[in-house]
Amino acid sequence: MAKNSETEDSELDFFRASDGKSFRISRRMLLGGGGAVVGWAASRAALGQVYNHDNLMPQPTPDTYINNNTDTPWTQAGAAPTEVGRRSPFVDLKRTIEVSGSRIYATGSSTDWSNIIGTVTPSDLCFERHHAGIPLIDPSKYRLLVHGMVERPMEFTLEDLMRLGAEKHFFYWECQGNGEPPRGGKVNENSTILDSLGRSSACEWVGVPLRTIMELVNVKPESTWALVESYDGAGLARSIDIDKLWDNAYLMYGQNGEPVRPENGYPVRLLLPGYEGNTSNKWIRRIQFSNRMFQMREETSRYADHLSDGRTFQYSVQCGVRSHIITPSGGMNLAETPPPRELRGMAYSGYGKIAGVEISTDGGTTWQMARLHGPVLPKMATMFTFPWTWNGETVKLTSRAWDNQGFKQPTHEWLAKYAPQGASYNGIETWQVHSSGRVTNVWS
Amino acid sequence: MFGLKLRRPVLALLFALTGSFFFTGSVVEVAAQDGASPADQPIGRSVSESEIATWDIDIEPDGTGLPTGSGTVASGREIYDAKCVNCHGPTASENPGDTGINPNLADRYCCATTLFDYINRAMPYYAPQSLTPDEIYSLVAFLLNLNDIVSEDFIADAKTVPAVTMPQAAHYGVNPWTSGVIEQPGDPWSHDNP
Repeated sequence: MAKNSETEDSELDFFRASDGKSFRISRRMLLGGGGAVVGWAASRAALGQVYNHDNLMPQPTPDTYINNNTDTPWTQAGAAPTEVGRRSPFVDLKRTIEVSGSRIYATGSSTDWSNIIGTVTPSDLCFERHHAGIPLIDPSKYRLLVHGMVERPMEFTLEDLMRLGAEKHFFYWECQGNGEPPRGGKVNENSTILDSLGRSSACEWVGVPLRTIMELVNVKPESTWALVESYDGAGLARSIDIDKLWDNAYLMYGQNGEPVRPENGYPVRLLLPGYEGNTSNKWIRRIQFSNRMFQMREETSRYADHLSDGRTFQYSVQCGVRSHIITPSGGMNLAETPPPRELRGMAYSGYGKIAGVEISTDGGTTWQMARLHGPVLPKMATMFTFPWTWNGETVKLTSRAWDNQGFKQPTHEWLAKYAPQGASYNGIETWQVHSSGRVTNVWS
Repeated sequence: MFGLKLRRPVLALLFALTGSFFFTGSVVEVAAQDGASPADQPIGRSVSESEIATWDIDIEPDGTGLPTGSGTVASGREIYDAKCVNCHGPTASENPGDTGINPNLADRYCCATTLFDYINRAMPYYAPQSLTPDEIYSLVAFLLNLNDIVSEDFIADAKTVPAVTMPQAAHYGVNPWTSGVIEQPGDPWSHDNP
């Protein structure tokens, strides 16, 4: 074969002719001309010449991925890599934006756990709740002030915090409003897993234990409370008991392998595992140690239990044990899709590790153990499965969990008696699969 | 065979030694320049009381943190109508349980200082921390009067606000179960009606 430019051009023309100006190689050309391409390329390689495919076909771009024919992907060149990865165009994952109360602006978004595969929530799907929107914080200007009942009031930069000994934990966290409590003695028949679990997420977190900071500033022994305050326009502030701050509090700057997302507290958030989310201040700017509660609006007017008998219970911050069957769950229809061959769900305890999850498929008469998929970690979501097939009849599906600290997920009746409000409603949830395939929420 | 077995440990040892030599050398060099190892850079910075004062905005129930200034019910009404009414409504009760202030203030607050603190840190929503102490005192006086907690001639200042007794104050308490300090009472799996 000659190796002058005229010959190359004529060979290129062979391909040009297949698809006009665009240089696009059609499937038909590849199928028909495949042998010629291979023979030509082999001969070029044997001659030691550089093969410049830019002249032969369009440069693959990230958009090639979208444009390609999907029926026969093996007959096409694929997309070029991108600096930031993307989900498949067939995967449509979104948070649900929420507008609370009479406000005209969105105040949060929720995680749809029916879209979460496993237990770690992708960072861009983590739920969020704000009181004055998401502040934009320049990390070089970020400061954390720690003062009050301490020997040495101090200020920390982001670099300071990142230089201190780090810890890594998987933690689930939830809004005080997570859960779907019954109203007027009835559960919401139409509630979905978005309603009962959407104000919660679970991530891998990296940060510094607050204990380290407390030792640096030397908190005085008479301190019993601390105010934690945020950088946002609400200056969100809560009083936290000193035991929690010593034992189980973290200043987190890493989330799922990257800096904490803005809506989850960039550059630094407090995380109090097991406590209602409102206490885990995002964008934390100030911690003031004291020997009394500060009686902020978010612990007297809001995030307090205003009971029908006239009493107000404060500091109902402790989250309990919860479990949810996610597949199937409310709003699904088992007649419309191939029905599942196992139940899948999640369990969590705000006190410790999940010790067991039981499933009833007969309205609570008999119970069998579900399989827990480890590692089972304290204050982290645990996935469970249970073999089950739908027989086409009306059936009730219930899960209940308990933890290694002796706490059980309670019934609606128990919660009505002992915790008429409280943090994060966690009553035992029952889904009813109707003979039509429709799944609804029932009392028990 | 003997040589092959030894090769790896010897190489590893060699690497460790040269590595540590290089590392020590560079540290000594920096230390000679700066008088300290880079690792000795202090973490955090001590702050003075005057620096703290610019950040320390909270108002405590005994009045700690309240600034000098004062406000009347009448001046509070003017400020409310100018800066608050768009969200909270003409009578402050338009959105009960949400942006409603009346009657939330009577039912859901233990301390009048909370009102000053919250308006100061978070209101108005579109311009937080923009109000002067006199404006905030005025709004506190107006809202307390609107909820029939103080009289029309009430003047709010650093002494009178902490002294107000909020109607709900005596009914505040802690539920030991939900604050996580006791074991779970009763049978959590019972379906007996309470």
